[in-house]
Amino acid sequence: MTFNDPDWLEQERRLLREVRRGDRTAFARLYRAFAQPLFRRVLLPMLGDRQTAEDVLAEAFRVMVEKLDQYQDRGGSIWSWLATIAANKARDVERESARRGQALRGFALLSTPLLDARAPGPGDDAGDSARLHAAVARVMDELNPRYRRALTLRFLEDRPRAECAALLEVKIATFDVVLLRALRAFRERWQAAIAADTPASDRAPVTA
Amino acid sequence: MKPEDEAPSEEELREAAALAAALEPDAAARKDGGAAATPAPGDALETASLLRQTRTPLAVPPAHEPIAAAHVAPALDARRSRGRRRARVWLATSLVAPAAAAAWLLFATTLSRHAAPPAARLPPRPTAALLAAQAEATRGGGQAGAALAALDSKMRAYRRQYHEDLRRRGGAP
Repeated sequence: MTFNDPDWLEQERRLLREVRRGDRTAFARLYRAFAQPLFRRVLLPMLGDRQTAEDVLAEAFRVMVEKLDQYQDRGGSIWSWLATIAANKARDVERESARRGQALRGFALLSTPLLDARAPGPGDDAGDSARLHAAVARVMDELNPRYRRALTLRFLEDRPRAECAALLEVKIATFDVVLLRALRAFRERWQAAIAADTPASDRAPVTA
Repeated sequence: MKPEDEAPSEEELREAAALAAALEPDAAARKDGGAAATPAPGDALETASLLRQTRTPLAVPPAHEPIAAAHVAPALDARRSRGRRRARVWLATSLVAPAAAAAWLLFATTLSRHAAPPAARLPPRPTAALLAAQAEATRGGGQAGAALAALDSKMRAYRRQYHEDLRRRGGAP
């Protein structure tokens, strides 16, 4: 089911009416419908940091409840409005982090074409995660073994840099260069693979 | 993309060190490559961020729901109390206002009824001449016809005065 499904839209309108009256149960149901897609498709890709994304998610829901009277129902789902609130909040956090010299690095440019290939829907759609993981695994398989090992050790196994260098039997500075080249090789193949997998006609409109 | 075995340029070495510092921003990493002067390459950082997220499912943990609920609770409470205030206003306008209007109408009606001067409802006091004419007419006798005519004339004058009084006070028949 997507957010544009008539059954969902009817249910969503009823929940929004109840949330306007301050009903906590209705809010909990809206949260369960929108939290996962907002986190997976908007906040985590923009911010690249889980804790920050969770904080912004809670804040986006607070703003939604406060400004609900400004929302104009034009027959569609509140998803786009909510995704815009979340994206704006994420940009505020990015700016604030950059001002403090702790810029966050998201991966929205890389993940959006893949995640937006399917329209979002209510609930915990684990498909987004599975598609992303499968795509990463496919691209990793295409890399040369040394680059694949460097990326696996450093990012998938989260090992310290010195340990990665020791396992690859190189100096730390050499490992840094190998890692940089491996990341660029991955990125190049990733973009080619995503472009090939998602024809423009299948892509859902970008909402945030 | 460079071939794996190509020797790194000075710029690439600087970028690699800056990237290492950004990925593991501790003092040791900074000392290794003098990363401060060169910004970490954005394309590599972005790719690293994507790869790091694939360690675990892209999902909000269940523990986040009560945190979000607590964060939103004041806004929901404010909506509930606004709703209660609106209900009270609605009750006041739909029940109290009509009741007040009815009470006012009742009061106003009663007031106007009491405000009418009692004197206007009573006939004027008969004059002594009229009473004398009545007494003469009831006595009868030979002059009965003349007495009745005199009484009739006095009664006409009395009725005229009564009607005139009523008209003046707004109670004319």
